[in-house]
Order: sequence, then structure tokens, then C-alpha cells
Amino acid sequence: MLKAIFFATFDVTEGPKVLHQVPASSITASPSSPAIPLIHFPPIASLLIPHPTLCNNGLVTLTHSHHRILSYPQHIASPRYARNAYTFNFCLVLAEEADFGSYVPVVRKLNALFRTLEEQGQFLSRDGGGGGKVYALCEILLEDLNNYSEAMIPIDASNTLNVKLFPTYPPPPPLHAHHVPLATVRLAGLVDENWDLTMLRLLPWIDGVNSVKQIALLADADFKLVRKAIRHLLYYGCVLLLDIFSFGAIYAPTAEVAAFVESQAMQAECARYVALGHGDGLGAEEEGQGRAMSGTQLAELYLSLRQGHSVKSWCMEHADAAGRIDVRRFVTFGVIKGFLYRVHKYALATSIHRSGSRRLTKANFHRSKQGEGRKKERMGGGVENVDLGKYLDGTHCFDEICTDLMISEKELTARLKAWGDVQIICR
Amino acid sequence: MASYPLPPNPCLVAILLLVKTTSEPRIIFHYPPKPGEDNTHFTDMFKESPADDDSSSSSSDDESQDSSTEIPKPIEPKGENGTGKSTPEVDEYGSASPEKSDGLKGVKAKLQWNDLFGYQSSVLSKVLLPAVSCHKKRFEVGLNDKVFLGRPVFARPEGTWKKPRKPRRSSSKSDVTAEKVKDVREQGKGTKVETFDYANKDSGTSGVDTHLESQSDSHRDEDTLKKEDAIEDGEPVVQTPDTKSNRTSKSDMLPLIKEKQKPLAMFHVVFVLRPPPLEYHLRVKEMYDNVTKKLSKALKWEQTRSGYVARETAVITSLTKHMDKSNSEKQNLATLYHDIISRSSLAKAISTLYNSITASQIAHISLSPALSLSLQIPFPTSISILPTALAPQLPGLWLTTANSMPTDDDVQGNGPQLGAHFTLLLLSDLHSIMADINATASPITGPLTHYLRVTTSNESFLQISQSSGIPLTEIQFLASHLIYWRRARAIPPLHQRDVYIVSPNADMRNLATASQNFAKLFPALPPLPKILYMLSHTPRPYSALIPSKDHKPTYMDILAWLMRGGWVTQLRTFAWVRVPADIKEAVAKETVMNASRKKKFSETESTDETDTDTSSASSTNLSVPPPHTSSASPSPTSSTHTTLPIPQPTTPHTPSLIPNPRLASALPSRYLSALSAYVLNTQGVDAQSAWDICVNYFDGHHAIETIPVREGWKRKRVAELMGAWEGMGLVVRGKHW
Repeated sequence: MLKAIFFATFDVTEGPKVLHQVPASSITASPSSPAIPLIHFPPIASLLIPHPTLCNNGLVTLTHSHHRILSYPQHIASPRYARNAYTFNFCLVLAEEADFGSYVPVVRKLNALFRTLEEQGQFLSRDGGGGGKVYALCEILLEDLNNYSEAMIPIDASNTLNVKLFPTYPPPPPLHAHHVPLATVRLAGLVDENWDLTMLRLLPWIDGVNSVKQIALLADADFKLVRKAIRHLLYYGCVLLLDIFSFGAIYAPTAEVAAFVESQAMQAECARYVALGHGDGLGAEEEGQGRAMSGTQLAELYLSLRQGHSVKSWCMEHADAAGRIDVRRFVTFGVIKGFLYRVHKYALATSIHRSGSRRLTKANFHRSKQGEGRKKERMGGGVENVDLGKYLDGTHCFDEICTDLMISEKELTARLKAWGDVQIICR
Repeated sequence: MASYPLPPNPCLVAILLLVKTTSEPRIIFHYPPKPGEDNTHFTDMFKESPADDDSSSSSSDDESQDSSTEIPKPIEPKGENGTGKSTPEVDEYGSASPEKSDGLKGVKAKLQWNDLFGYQSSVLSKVLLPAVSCHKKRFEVGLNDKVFLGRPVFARPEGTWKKPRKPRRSSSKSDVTAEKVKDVREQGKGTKVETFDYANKDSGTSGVDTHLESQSDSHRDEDTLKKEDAIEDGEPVVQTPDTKSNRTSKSDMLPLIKEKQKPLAMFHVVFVLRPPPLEYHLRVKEMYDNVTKKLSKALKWEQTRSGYVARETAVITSLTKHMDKSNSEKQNLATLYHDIISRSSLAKAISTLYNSITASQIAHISLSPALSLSLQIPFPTSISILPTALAPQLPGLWLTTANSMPTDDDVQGNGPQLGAHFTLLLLSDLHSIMADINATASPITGPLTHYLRVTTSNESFLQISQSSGIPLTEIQFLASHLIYWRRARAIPPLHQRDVYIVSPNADMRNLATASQNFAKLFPALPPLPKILYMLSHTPRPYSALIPSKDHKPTYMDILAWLMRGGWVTQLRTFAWVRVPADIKEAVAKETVMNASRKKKFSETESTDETDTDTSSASSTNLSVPPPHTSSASPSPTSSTHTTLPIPQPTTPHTPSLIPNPRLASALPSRYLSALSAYVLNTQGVDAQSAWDICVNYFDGHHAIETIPVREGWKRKRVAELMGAWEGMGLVVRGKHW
């Protein structure tokens, strides 16, 4: 939220001077207005109208009396001016603790544009004080940015000021093939004809079940492009990342589970989400009303999930309850809300750690030779074991290995058994 | 997102020292020598130099070293051990001052000091010169992506740093400072005197009050600062036993400065940061609160006390002045820096600070014999929330909800100290910590070594205190000292019957190196992957891993090692009170009964009959013993429960959980008393008293594992009770960290 915009120049007789300010008297007090200025201009004047070497040299920000001033001082040297130079600065005033990242491009553009206009036709130096064009522009800009986060202000016949505040988000985390994207908004509703083709192809397959790799296969699109597209969605917070759900997977509560136990609203939300019904969870709301689980029951079910206990065995333990809910949605709900976490399995070939990689390659060679006969009779894949070796350093979870090698967990377990001294660590 | 801790990132680019005499402001020193460029050449060199300086006999070493490099020595080296010599140096500086400005310009041109981040030094110093109104306030100016952060300190309008004094009053005043204002009354007197003094001297100036206030404030600040330091680092912040003698010499000295040298009008240590845009506020605040502000306060204190900054300024400028004679620029700069850092304790402090803070370590700097302080940007030792795939990752950080600092609503909160039921986990091996402690002489060395000898991560502070005879408060003090210095971490005591799992936040990338270290430390035992594999099963007590009784100590060491590296975390049990349907039904019935009784009561005014009625009714329905129920619950509630919504008799009662039993409202508290009565009825008096205590832990935030430690019960007893209650459906358990 902008507090004020002001335009400062170097006055030939008075030195640094605030020529225009919106709202009135926000920077320098005037006898006509009772308003108290937000900041005290004289001590900071030398920074806002600085030494020429600091002008045209990038952003100058400063904090003063709990306000932050963004500015981009401009200095134009030309014999046409009184002291052979014209210095000006459009400054934005924000609260000190406010995020100012999105205003930086605005202040930069504002000053750069008017520098050009000034150089072309002395737009600023001819404007004069009082209620001129520049003042009107500051006024509109402040109002539009605060109300609509964007502004389009025509300046003259051929120039228009177009600015918009864009929020900055942190860069999305690395996306792996085994991540499962889940849309947080109705992506289909956002699509327009300008969207990327790969994106359009893959949108129907984002359902919280398919992994990135599966989406690429189903959409018949290049994996790298798919990954890039989904990272875009991640950046804008349109998708969440889940893990591949399977009944063999292990889930356990995190410390956040207390929030679920204590929040009746979350329990009710969960009850609606996990209720069995026809169609997509929305219709289920009315359908499942009679059979809906109580919040306490759900909480007890969540608390009964634990390490070392797969969803399958949990289902058998709670056959009665598990039959009345959508188990996948039940688990997913917990993962989305952050009170369940997936216990991933990691394989670690102890031989790697005992003595470097030389032995590993040797072992690989040895094993692929040794297991050749066995493999031939099963499927004839000769090189997979060599591939497998690089996943056995304890940093790759089973989901990742299975997705990359396109094998099932069962097969992976069998191969690891054949491999020999492999420790499986659950984390 | 913001709730997750972020990995440490000091984003410090440089530290500048800006001073202003009566003339222009100047950046007289900055570190590293070439900010924003590769400084490895210099840092390598400085790594050796502090070692020289650390020894107390450094001055002579330095001299010989210096003479070998043929650098003219204008002044005596000083700093750590040269307080007594300070007077002549000032004189020398004073005589040197006239030629200072032009001489310095030449140096600047040669050394390319004029080019700091592409800005002219003189321009930059004007930018960084704050207005006088910024005195002791946060100063923050951004140029492009760099932030210049500082806390400027100005001299008083008439050029002094202390309250103005007249000869006759100086003795009483120095007493005030010397005694560290022990006596409040005396302090009051001192302030009064100043007011008078001030009014006398510059009655015309406005803002006398604010100045005065800030001054006395600053004194208080510095006192607290000093105390803080003494507490925080436990460092031998020498409480200047010789203050009085010092003071006299200083009061001799200060006028000299005033006469012969342009007095220092302002100093400003500027921290140049380059924070990522998204973390701007966080990083800047971190640096300001933890480093910038504390350093500025300390310098102000020392400047007021002994003219420290002015003295150091003189040292640095006189050194830079003589440097224009050498030829090779790079060599020149390197030797110059070596020289400055070995001569000026302030320059050395700035370089130490820069090197430590950029490495996210603790910077221990000693400004003068009287003042040393340690600065660090604190780093979280644990997180309670497991970062999701989208959140910033901090692998290897200890994942736990166990907070060693008891919050005020803790069951047995005991002030802002470490919880008595925690213990210390040393983060490196005992020998290296011992060696470090013995290397630095400190008043707490003795107690610390004694404590370290008896400490164990298997017993709580309280137990250690009882067995060793060290008072608990002392243990807590020593432990927090070790924690502050990042040598240890407070954890719940390790116990072989507790459950430990592989931490979901373990840093698997370190597994290879960790395995090798593990094999070295614990040979002839299963390798690390095997241990982690054994901990990956269905959670079970750690004792299941221990093959025999003889192995127990070793396996407890392994556990401590695993905890230290964040490989495992304790799986703790949390419980909530569950109200079964039949209890609810009984309470509801009773409520109806009481309501009707009240009705009856108002009609017939007969008490005895209804009382027996209720009791008999409840006993048949509930199997709750009547006398207890009637004495415990109905009497206080009877006045209110008519206004409560009485549960609909038509809907069947379903069990529910009580989230916070200690702050339960009317209806849940009636359930609780009914449950208590139920426990008494089914399990007896012992179980009931246990229930009444345990109920406080059943809020989902207090681990059940803490009950035996806090209440001093046998683990077995708690386990049995919990099992029974869970079987009866009175308690729901969940496990996390």
C-alpha cells in the first residue's frame, strides 16, 4: 500500500525541493493544510537529489521515520538548463515494514519514462509547479496502484504510462518425476487460448493421482516440457505436491495432528472430503451425509496410522471404518493439510559405503553377469541392475527409483534382494 | 511458509567504518579489503595474523615483523595491552592531524579505496552520513541490491561523549559510571546533577531533554548490555577493577584530545548486506538486532568510557597515511591490512566479525581489556514442523516439539530457564570441548569442567544436580552457556525404553560420510546403515536394539551420536481425553435429573429425598459411585447448568475428545469429573489420583514420556495406566516427535 508519491527536483535557487506531492502535505508541511508530513524532507534531501555519480545508477532506497522511500534519481546534463543539469526523482513512500519488491519496477519505469520525455521535449522542466500534468499523474498513479494494483495513464498523444504490481514468489522447489501434482484451483477455468500447448495437453491428467512421469506418458508429451509446465503451476501456487499413493505405502502423523484433533471445522471438512459417494467429492456432500464419520472417529483413525505400518495393514486393522471412507482421499487429506507424512523407503547398498565406487562398478558387473541367467528367464532385461546401482546411495526413495526405472515396488524389492547387502531405511 | 525457519544466510558483503570529525565524513576502514571481489588472498593471510595477535606478547612480535617489512611506524602498537600507553599516541596523532586530509587523499588514490562497490568513497561516505536525528537509531539506505545498515552514534553538541563535567563534579560522576550504577539513589543524584549542569551550559539549545534522556538511557542500556554479555557469553567481561585509576588517567587524556586533535563527532559502523529480495526484511532485521545494534552499543560504551573509537581512528588513519610510499599496489594493500589489523583492535574486531558472521559462526571480539563481546545471528536448533516438498528444506535439523524453554502454561513452568527435566547433548566430543574451555581462562572454567565431567545425556539436570551436588541453577546456567556457544543442545534425557525413529528430516546426503565416521567411532558394531535399518521397523523401545546388558553404555553412546547428527528423533506419545458415549449419556441424564430436581426443589423444598434419588439413579445407570459424584461435580455446576444446552435425548451420544482438559468449559469439565469418578470406581483410589494428575498431560501437547520424569513415577506404572485407560476408551494416543 503506497503512502505517498512525490516528485523532487533540484531547484536552481532553493536546492533540493519537493515540487509535487500526493497526498498534499505528506512530505513537506504547507500552511494551507493541517496534515503532518510523513517524513522530514531536509535531512534526506541530499540522498534523493544526490551527487551526480549516484544518479542514473540504480535504485536508491532509504528508511526514515518508519517509512521507506523508493527512488531512482535522474540527472540530465545539458547546456539548456540553468546549471547545465537537471536532476529529478519520482519517489514512492511505503511503510517501513511493507514488502516493496513489487514497487521497484514501478519506480524504475516511472523515472526512466520521464527521463526520456524530458530529454525529448523538456516535459518535466516546462511543467511548472501547482496543478500541472505531473501532479495529476502522481495523483492518478497513487489512487490506481492502491485500488487496482495497476495503472494506465495517457501522458500525451504518443506516450502512455503502463504499470502493474507483480508479486514475487519464491522459486519453486525442484520437481521430480515421482511427485504427484494436485490442483488447488480449477485449472480448466483459467485456461485461455494463449496457454502453452504442453500445458493444455497435460491439464486433464493433473488429478492428484498421476505422477509427473505418468502425466507425461498419458499426455504423450515430452517429460522435460511437462516438468517445466508444472513448475510454472507450482510457482503460482496452483498445484501442490503429493506422493504416489499406494496401499503399500506408510503414513504417520506429524506434530500438526494436534491441530486436526482440536479443530472441528477441519474435521467436518475432512468428513465431507473422504465420504464415499458417486462422482467427484462435491456431490458426495449430500449423499454421504448419513454415513459420514464423526470428527472424533476420523481423528482416532488418523492417530492410528503409524510408522512401520502400511496403509494395507491399517485397512485390515480398521476394516469396518476403512470400508466407509475413501482411503486414498483420507490419506491425501492428511498430507495436504500437513498432519500426515509419507514414510519413504531408501535403499542403501552397504558395499558402496565401505569402499568407494570402484567396488560398486565391479559389483555391478559381477552381479549383472551372475544374475543374467535368472533375469533372462524372467524378462530378459540385462542392464537394469547396473542402473539400479546409482540409486542405492540412500538419497533416492523407492518412489523415485520405481518411477525412473518404470518398475513396480514389488519388482524393486525382488531386485534389491538379489543385489545382496542392501539396507532399507524408512524415513 | 513464514513459519519455517530458513537456512542461515548472513548475506554480509562488507563492514565499513565511517567517522566524522569536524570536517567531512570519511570511510577510514572497510573489510574485506576489496568488497564484492575475491578476497581469498587476503583472508588467507589474515588467518595467520590473528594467531600472532592472540598471544599477549604480540606487541614485540609485531614490531619486529613490521620493521622487517620496512614500514614506518608512527605510533606504538597497542590495543589489547596498551591502555596505559594511550596518551602519547594521541599526542602524536594530534600533531599529525594537519597534514591528514591531503595525505589521506593520496593514499586513497593509490589504494583504490575510492572505489567501493563502484562508488567513490567520498560520495559514499556522504550518503552514509546520517542526520543527527538518527543518533542511535536504525540507519538503512539501499543502493541497488545492497543495503547499508548501521546505527550511528554522535557526540554531544559540544563535542564530548560523556555528560559535560566540571572538575569539581568529575569525581562523583566517574564514580557513577565506575560503580556500574549499583546504587539507584546515586544514579538519580548523578542525573540530577547533569540536568543542572546542562541547563547551565547550553541553556539556549533545544532538545536538551531528549539528549539528556537518551544519554541516561544509553547508560542504562550499556549497563544492561554489559550484564547481558556477562550472562550470555559468561565471558570474562572484566568488570574493570582498576576503573578508578583508569578514569583519572582518562580524564587527563580526554582534554588532550579535545585540544590537539579534531574531535570525533560521529562514528558509524556500516554493515553492507545483499539480501535476497524475498528475505529482505528478515535478513536485515536479523543483522540489525543481533549484530549491528549490539556492536554499536558496545562501541558507544567504550568511547564514552575511554575515547576508544577516537583512539582507534587515530591509529588507523595514521597507518593509512604512511602507506603511499610503497609501490606494488596489491602487496601494498595486503601489508597495509595486515598492519592495520595487527595494530588496531577495532580493525581486528571488524575483520573477525566479518569472517565469523559470513561463516554463520559466533564472532568473539575483544575491543579493549575491559570489553569483549560475542555476536552471532542465532540459528534454530530444532524444528517442530516437518518441511513439505514446497517449503525450504533444512535437512539434518533436529525434528522435535520438545521445547527446552518451558512456556508459561507449562505444567511445571519454572521461569525463563532451561527446563529442569531436560539434559544436555554435547555437539562435539567431550575432549575437544574441554580443550577449548581450558584454552581460554575464564572465571567459569572450573565449574564448567566439573560440570562437564558429570554431565550425561541420560539424566535430567535435576537428577545430575541431585547426584553431583551442583546446584540446579548453576547447572542450568552452565548448560545455557554451552548452548549459547553452540557446543550443546538441550534435549529430553535419553532413555533406552523410549522409542526412537529415523528422523524424517535426516540428511540422507550425509549418510556416506556419517557412516565412515560412525565406523571409526564404533568399530566392531553394526554399521550405521544397519542401525538405521533396525530403527526403521515398527517403532519399538530402543532397548530392543541392544543385544546384551554389557552393550548398553555403548548403545546409549550410539543413540547420543545419532541424536547429535539429527539422524533419529524421539517418537513421543501424545494423548487426548476421550469421553465414551456411556459417560456422556450418564452425564446428560444426570443433568436432566438435576434440572427436574431443581424444579422439584423449588416446588417442594425437600432436599434429602431428591439427593438420594439422584444418587441411586446415577449409580444404577452409570456405575459411578454416588458420594463422589455428588460431592465433586454437581454442586458447583448445579447453579449454571440450567442455562447450558442440554444434549438432545433423541440423538445417540458419540464419543468425543476434549482438546484442552485444563481449560475445559462447563460441560467438558463435568465429563472430566465423571471420568475421574469412573476411574475411581473401576480401578481404585490410586488410579484416580494418578488420573487426576495425568489428565493435565492429555492435551496433545505434552508428551506422555515426560510424566515419569516430571512426576517421578516408574515408567512401568505410567505404561500400565495408559494401557488400561486406552483399553477403557478414556484416552486416545497418537505418536509423533
